[in-house]
This record gives sequence, structure tokens and C-alpha cells, in this order.
Amino acid sequence: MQREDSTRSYLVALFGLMVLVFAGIGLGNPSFVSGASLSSMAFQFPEFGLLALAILPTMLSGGIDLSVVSIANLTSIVAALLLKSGHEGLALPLALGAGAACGVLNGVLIGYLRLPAILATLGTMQVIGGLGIVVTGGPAVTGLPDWYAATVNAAPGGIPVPLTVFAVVLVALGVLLRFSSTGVQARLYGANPIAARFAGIPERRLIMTIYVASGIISALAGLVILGHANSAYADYGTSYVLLVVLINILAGVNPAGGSGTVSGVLLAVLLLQFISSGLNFLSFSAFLRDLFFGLLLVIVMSLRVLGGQFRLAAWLARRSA
Amino acid sequence: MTIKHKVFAVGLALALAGGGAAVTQAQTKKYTITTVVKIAGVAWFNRMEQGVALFAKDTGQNATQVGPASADAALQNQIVEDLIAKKVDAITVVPNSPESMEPVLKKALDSKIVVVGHEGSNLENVTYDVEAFDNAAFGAHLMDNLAKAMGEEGEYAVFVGHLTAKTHNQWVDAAIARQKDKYPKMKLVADKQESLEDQQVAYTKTKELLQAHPNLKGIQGSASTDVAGAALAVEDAGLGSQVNVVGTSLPSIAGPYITSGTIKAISFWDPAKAAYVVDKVAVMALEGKKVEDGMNFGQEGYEKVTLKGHVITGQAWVDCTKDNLSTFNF
Repeated sequence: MQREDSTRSYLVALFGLMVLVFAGIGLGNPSFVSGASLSSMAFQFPEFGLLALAILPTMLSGGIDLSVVSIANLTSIVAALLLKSGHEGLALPLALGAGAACGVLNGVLIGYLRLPAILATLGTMQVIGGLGIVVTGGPAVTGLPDWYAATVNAAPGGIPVPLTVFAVVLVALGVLLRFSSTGVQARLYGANPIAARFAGIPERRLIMTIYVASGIISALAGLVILGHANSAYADYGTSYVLLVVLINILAGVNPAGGSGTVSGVLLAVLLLQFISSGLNFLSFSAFLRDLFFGLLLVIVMSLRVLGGQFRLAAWLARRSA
Repeated sequence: MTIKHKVFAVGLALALAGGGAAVTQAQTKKYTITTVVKIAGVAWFNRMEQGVALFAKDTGQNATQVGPASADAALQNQIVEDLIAKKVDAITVVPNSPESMEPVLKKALDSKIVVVGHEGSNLENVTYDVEAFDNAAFGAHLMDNLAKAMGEEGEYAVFVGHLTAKTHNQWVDAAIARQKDKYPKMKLVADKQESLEDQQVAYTKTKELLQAHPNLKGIQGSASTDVAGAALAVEDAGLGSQVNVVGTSLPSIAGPYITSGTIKAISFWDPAKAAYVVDKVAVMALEGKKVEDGMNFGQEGYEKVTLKGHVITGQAWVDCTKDNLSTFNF
């Protein structure tokens, strides 16, 4: 069997679907294709796009990280408190450090204590989220220096800063997963952990690296959110947890681990953003958004099982031949 | 385009049917005003939507309401971003987290969109903010109701929708302060309980409270579903005669438990009237008119508003007990 990160035909189909959705909404409301609308979307998706990228390596290795949103909120609180108290130089490194520390906690639970990732991170999601509420006492942390939000919400040359952060992380993670030994090991481990163990892959170190990476990317998402909201709020983005898992499945990441790409994540993020903004533009009810997202997920997963990715690929290959 | 023709024909028919009203409306500019609520599809905001619809009908403005499917500040921010791109004339907003919305509301103001807040007295980037009443006074009033129901003595607990929800915490903090000040024989037995605006969570947490504090005599709710969840748990435990529930809610949600007597009193403001006033303020701002202290907005509780900075405050709280339950239809 030919090993591929995601069958190309699936990504092509996803891309086609994205273009169709974009065109369909554009026909329904032409102002959807305007610069203002595109710029508005470019400000929206990087924060959950980053969170989706944070989950990708963990899902690739057959795990999951449900604590990404909690980590993002905790790091934004850490950064906010430091910025507020005048320790502006420490804010970024310590926030990223907090994200990495949360990753270490997940890594220990999953790699060393061998807890199932879904349970371990469900627990740390609550612990880290709870920590955020304890630290702040509930209300949002405000009163940040003006430069921070001004920097994050800026768009030099028409490109929003959060989009740049997202793009850089996307490319870096993509290169890492494709070309580094850690990336290859993560996929092998996800595809078959027992074989990977016998092949001499340093399992614990691998798991630790993966979850620390996830923690650091979550921290970056937290820093983007901090600027976007100009405040740190322990309950921000709670609806993102399931959304980013959905994005990864839609991206063609195998829920059991072993395959998945950043390009798939990019397409899935854009597709969901188009649907979400499109429904707002066409003045549809918010419940339709969840309905569409859910339908999309169910249909995509069913098609992948029914058709079988590989047979579909063979069929497409025959058609194009 | 046949669809366009149809729309035109229907519009023409409506205009003709509207008669005199349509003529006067044609003279004022029609604005698009969108109300963004915390969460769509719950009784409270459904009632608010009725106010928005009434305003649209009365004035001919294109006033509508939208809200996310879950009460998440992030989703509200996304909706407002899209509305700015869509170039609406005014955005009115009931924020989940006022602080988190400041940058996106600033963006709206910068794009020459009028922004009117509700339940967000500390919002900075708004043209105006409309409050039904002073939150501290309302919290103290809830405590007076609870004290009356409990005979001014015994153990009580309090609920908030989210520990991070500003107004809920203001009510509860003011209520606790009032209790310490005026009702020394009452005692708060646990930290603020968080219901996540979910009736089922309020139910479960009340069950736990009743286990942990068998002498509990009173519960004060904040989210509109808190009292219903709490009252059901109290009744399931057969403690209806011991435990008294009061709080913020709507008659349609709390009605059955008010009838059965577990909920002694609920207080609320009519979200429909608030939305009506909010939209009225938005149109005034769009037409360049100024709101003034003591102004009458023609809605019950908003006949003589106070204006402080850009915050407009009414006196619009309503108590509902067994005696007047039947007079409310929402």
C-alpha cells in the first residue's frame, strides 16, 4: 500500500468544495467577495486555525489534545498579567513557557503514565481552565498597554498580523511534520504504536515533543486572542474545542492516527470560515452553522468509509487516464 | 430576473397595503440595525427578538436579531466582524464578555457604524449603552426578596451563569453585601455556584448543595434558567416547603415552580422593552440626535431615564409572584 499523508484526491475534493461554497455564497450576496469581507474573515480564522494546527500533531500520533483552548486562555492570562504589571519583556517568553509547561503536563500523563490521550487532556482541559478562573477570579483581565492590541490588530500591507502568525506556524509545522524525523516518527507511531515501539522509536520522548509543540502553538493562539480581545478571559472560545477537532477530521486527518497534513487543515479552516461568515452574510440562523458543520463532518466521514479513500483515488485515476 | 420582479411586486403590494404608514416611512431613511445577543434560541432572547420585531414593525426600520448557538464571546466577535464587513448601519449588542468585544466594537465605530450596548455598562467603544436598571440596586432587591421568603434567617446559596459574567456577579455581590448589612441571621454556605447558563447544570449543582447543606433554606439564581433547575431539584428532593428559590428569570421559564410555591418571586426586566429602547437609541444616533437625561422613551420603565456619560439607565425591573403570574405572557 502506498503511504501518503492524505490522499491527494481527497484534498483536491476538499479544495473543490471550498471553491463551490465560496462561489455559492458570493452569488447569494455579492458583497461577500469584497475586500472588507475577506479582511474580516482573515481576522477571524487565525485564532481557531492556530488551535487546529495545535491539535494536528497530537492526532497524527493517534492521540488528541482537548486542552488547547484552556492552554490558550491560560497563556493569554499570564501574558496579560505580566503586560499589565509592566514586565513587558517577560510577557512573551513566559507565556510561551506556560504553554510549553502545560504541554509537558500532557506529555507526562500520556507518555509516561500511559493515560489515554482523550481522558488525560479532558482532565487537563478542566484543570488548566480552572486555573485560569482561579487566577483571574472570573472577570476578564483588562488594562493592557495600548501597543499590544494595536500590534496584533494591525494589518501591514493589508495582511492582518494574526494571519501572518498563522501562516508562519502552518509552514513551520508542515516542514517539521514532513521532513523531520519527529514528524515521520509521529506518523509511524500513530499508524501502529506497537510496531513503532519495536522499531525502536523513543516513544516517551516523541509523545513529550508532540504535546509540548501542541502547547506552544496553543500559547501562540492565546497571544493572538489576547490582542484580538484586548483582554484575557478564562472562558474565551470554549466552543472552539469541538470545532478544531472537527477541522482536523475534515482536513483528512485519520482519527486513529497515522495520516494528515497541514494543507488539509488550511483547506478545512477556510471552508468552515466561508460557511460561518457566509451564513452571517445571508442572515441565516446561528443554529444552521452548527447544523452545516455537523452535516459536513458526518457526510465526509461516511463517504471516506463507504467509498474508501484509496478506491476513490483509483477511480479518479482511472477517470483521468 | 423573475425573483427580483417578485420581490418588487410583493414590496409594492405591501407598500400599497401599508397605505398612510408607508408614505410617512418613505420619507425617513431606512436603516439596517442588527442586534447581536449572547445566545440564540433561549426564552430570554426570543422575548428580546419580539421587541426587535415590534420595533421594526412600528418604525419600518430593517431591525433584526442574531446570536451564536452557544454563549461564547469568540463566536459573538465573529458575528460582529461579519456585520462590519456587511456594512450594517447600527449594531446593538448584549455581550457575553464586554471586555473581549472592545476591539471589534472599536472597529465598528471606526467604520462609522453606530454601536449600542445592553448589559454592558462598562463598555467603552459604544455610542450609547442602555441598562434596564442599576445592577447593584437590583442585586440588593433580589436579596430583599430572598430574605422575605426565608424569614430573614438561615443558610442560602447563590448561582451565577458564569463566574466570568459581569452583571451576574454584580447582582450576587450586591445581594451578599445587602445580606451582611441588613440580614445578619442569614448565612452564605458555599461559593458562587456556576450554572453555565444551563438548567441541567443548575439542577445537578442544587442536588449537590442539598446533600452538602441539609439545612439550606434559600437559593438565589442569576441566569434565567437557574431558578427552574434549582426548583426542580428542590422538589425532587421533597424539600419544597423548606427551601425557597428567588432570582432573575422569566414567567414562562419559572411559571410552574411559582405556581407550586417553590419559587417565591422572580425579578426581571422585559428584554423586549429593552431591545425596543436600544433600537430607538440606535436610530436617534443614526439621525444625529442626542439622548438627554430624563428623556422619555415611551416604554414602561424607560419613561424617565438617567444619562451618565454614555450609559442610559431606566427603572425597569418587574417582580413576578404567584399573585401576578397570570398577567405575563412571556
